Amino acid sequence: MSQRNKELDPLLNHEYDGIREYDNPTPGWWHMIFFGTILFAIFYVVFWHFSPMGWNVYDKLAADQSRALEATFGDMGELTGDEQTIMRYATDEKWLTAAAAWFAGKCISCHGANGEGVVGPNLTDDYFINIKTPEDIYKMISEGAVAKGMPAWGKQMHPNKVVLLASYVASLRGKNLPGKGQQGEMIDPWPVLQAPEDSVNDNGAG
Amino acid sequence: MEQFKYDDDISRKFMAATILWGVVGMLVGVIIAFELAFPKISMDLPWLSFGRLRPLHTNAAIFAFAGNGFFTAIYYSTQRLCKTRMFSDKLSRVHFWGWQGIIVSAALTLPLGITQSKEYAELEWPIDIAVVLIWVVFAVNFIGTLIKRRERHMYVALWFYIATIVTIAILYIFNNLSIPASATKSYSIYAGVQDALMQWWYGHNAVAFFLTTPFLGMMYYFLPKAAGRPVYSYRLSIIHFWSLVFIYIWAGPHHLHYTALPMWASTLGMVFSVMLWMPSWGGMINGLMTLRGAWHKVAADPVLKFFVVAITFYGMSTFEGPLLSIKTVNSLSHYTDWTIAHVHSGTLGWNAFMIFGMVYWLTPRLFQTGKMWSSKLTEIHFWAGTIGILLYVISIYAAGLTQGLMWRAFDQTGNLQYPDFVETVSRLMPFYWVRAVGGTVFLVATLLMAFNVIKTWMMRPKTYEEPVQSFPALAKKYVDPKGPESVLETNVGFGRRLEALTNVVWHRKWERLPIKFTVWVTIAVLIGSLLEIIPTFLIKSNVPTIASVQPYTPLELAGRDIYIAEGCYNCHSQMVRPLFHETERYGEYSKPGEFVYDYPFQWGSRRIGPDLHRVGGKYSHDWQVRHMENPRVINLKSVMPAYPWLLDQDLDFEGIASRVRVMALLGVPYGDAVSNAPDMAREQARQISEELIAQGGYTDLEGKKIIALVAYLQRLGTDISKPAPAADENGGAP
Repeated sequence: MSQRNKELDPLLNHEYDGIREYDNPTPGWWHMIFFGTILFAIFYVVFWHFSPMGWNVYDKLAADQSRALEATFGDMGELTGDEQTIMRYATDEKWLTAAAAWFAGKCISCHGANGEGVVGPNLTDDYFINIKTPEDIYKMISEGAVAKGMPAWGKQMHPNKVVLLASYVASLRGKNLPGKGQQGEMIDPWPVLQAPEDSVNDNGAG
Repeated sequence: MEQFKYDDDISRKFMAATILWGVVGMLVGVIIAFELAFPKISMDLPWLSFGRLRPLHTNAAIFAFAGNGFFTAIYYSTQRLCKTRMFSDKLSRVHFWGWQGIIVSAALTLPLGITQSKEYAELEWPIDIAVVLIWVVFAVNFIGTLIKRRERHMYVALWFYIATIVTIAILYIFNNLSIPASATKSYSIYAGVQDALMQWWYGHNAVAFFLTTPFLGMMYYFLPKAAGRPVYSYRLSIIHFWSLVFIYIWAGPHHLHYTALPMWASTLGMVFSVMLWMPSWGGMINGLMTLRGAWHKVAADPVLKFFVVAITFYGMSTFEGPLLSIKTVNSLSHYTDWTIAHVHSGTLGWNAFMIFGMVYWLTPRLFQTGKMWSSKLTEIHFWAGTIGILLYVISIYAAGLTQGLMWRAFDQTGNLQYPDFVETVSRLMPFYWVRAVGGTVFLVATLLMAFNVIKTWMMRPKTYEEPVQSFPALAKKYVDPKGPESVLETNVGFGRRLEALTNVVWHRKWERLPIKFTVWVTIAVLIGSLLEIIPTFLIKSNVPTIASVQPYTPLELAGRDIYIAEGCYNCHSQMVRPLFHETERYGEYSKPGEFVYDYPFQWGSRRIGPDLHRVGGKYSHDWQVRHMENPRVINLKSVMPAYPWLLDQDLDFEGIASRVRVMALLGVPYGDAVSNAPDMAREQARQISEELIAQGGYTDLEGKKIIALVAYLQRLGTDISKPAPAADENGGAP
């Protein structure tokens, strides 16, 4: 085939330092795709920017967010950060698993992968700073202790997440993982840590 | 007949520089590749840290290696295509030595942390001025050569050289406009959204007009020379040249999809990138089809092998480019190694292999040895280089895809599957090792070339022959040949005009008018530029103001400058995209109005570490200090460099004054801070230091750089959740 082309190709009379040029037409498929991309461009701009059918990324984000909230907390309603609620979920495997993921996203860089403490305090022993009750954990997460370095997460997270994180943190106590040493004061046990059969494993790990 | 000699000495000089800087640039690349796989090898030395060396790698590879590479091509081919010596030998040498001086000053300043932080435009203002001056010298020399040419028409390679010279000048000057605060520090005159647009208008077109057009020119000269075959299609070269030059300039905003850039600009960037596919492939077609009937030569000639692989990589990258510019694809690929893989298939595959092919073709000719010292070594270079590229790009494509998918993965409970960012980095380590090995193979292969060229150079004759050329000067008068007879039966006006357009006789005329040609190229690149830039600057609704967003305090500004100097932007973005997995991971997405005081913007282009736009207030001062001192104390898997020197070095409080003054000059409402910036900074440093001590942190850091950096980091992204200031301050609030 190349042999055939070599003879049929019309050579132009151009010559530059020995370089010649053929007068071949531009390939048809090249034109087709080029015009295709131009048509695509026009269609794209009209569809997304000038037609009622286009949506934008902000609408999609809002939809994703509300769908995710619905999927996560659908039948739960809004939790309050009171002692009963916190302790109820502190033994609820399903919500502890979910809260563990949030803990991994927001908390472990200071409190360690298992709550053993790095820069922030160890959450697995019986010593706490400014915390005496489960409600105090909720307040600490929500409002922080900004001067001491604990951020306030209340504005950045769904309220239910703050409550459930408090439950998760409450559930860590007693594991006594080696990590950061004791800080603050030894406090009384959590008031009504129910369902001991669930927490056997937790205590066993410590 | 006029007699003259070609100046090959200048081509020899540029070629030697190409090889030298190629080795240096690749060596730095290999070093930083190993640093990612094994951070300890930077030995906690400031000038070896990733953030400072990465700009050195990119600048060396682009401006030193590729730049000297195409200067070699231009000086060699332009003289022959114009049948004349260069316009001025003196200007040629000023260009050569000036350019090398610029490279040396870049190599000295970048590791010291002297940088503007705009990617591939990092060099500070005194070097920028030198670049512009030397570029003007080059342009005058080149245009002068075109004017005194003895060849009536300009060959397509010269068109591409013209486009390069004109457009790089425009891009470089306008992106680098800045106001100096000292000899080594300046602030971009653009902020936030506008700066991002300018930067990627520049950044993408550095790819277009520094790494594409001059290399297409190189291809159009050296490929037919080496193959001994005519170029496939003259018409294709016309249409792909003009469409490439016109369309490329619009494509920049595709680097900013889903950012705070207005959507219309992002869309323009995308659709023009898609339309760029065929204009780019025009060059590939003309390259590969020129080899029809010469494939047996490709099997035997390593020069052609390098060219074929180069053009193939060009074709792949210019297909991948439009693909990556599609917004949904980009939402996956952006900020990952996919971009790095794309870039390296272009630079290693296309640019480096074009240069290697050219060097192997030129070396026996420039050193008049007739052949390379060892053709076997050339062959080994080709195969080792190819294997090096494949190891590099395949592993890094895998890394990019892996990380992109991990970032957006949700588990069945609807939570991020990998909420801890470092997991998505640790997973890449095997790929990073393979990449580092691939890069090393490529570097060693390049060293083989250097060795082979030196050995060939040693075989050179005692004195080079300089054959006397004799060609007639161009006649003053020239009548363009008539075009082909019309095939139209009737003399319909529109049909006739269309026919005249397609038979390209008009273009033949342009080819003998270099100034007119240059003017048209300038117009072609200005249209897209102005249509994107002017609305972004003038239309207020593009950047809705947010009343609570206030200027950085003097100390925070100083901290920001440390962030810039250490090159944090090389690994951290400051742009939370409005995508669900990002708002879940980082918090509220970034708004255009949050960046109005960001001179220059710090949105970044790659996340080796997490996004930092919402990092303010997320960690304690103590955490920040300990993490900067040694990230692996906090997180064993971290690959971030340690910055212990920030805890030792004193902050220059007095020096903040001139910086705040420049900011005020740029229109940042600093008010009283202009006159007492150092005292304000000292006061804030004292406060932060006290808070740090209260958190159980170090007690002796009040006057150190780290305090300023902590101040900046703690401020990042927090203004939006603050109440708007009272109306009496600057009358800002409505």
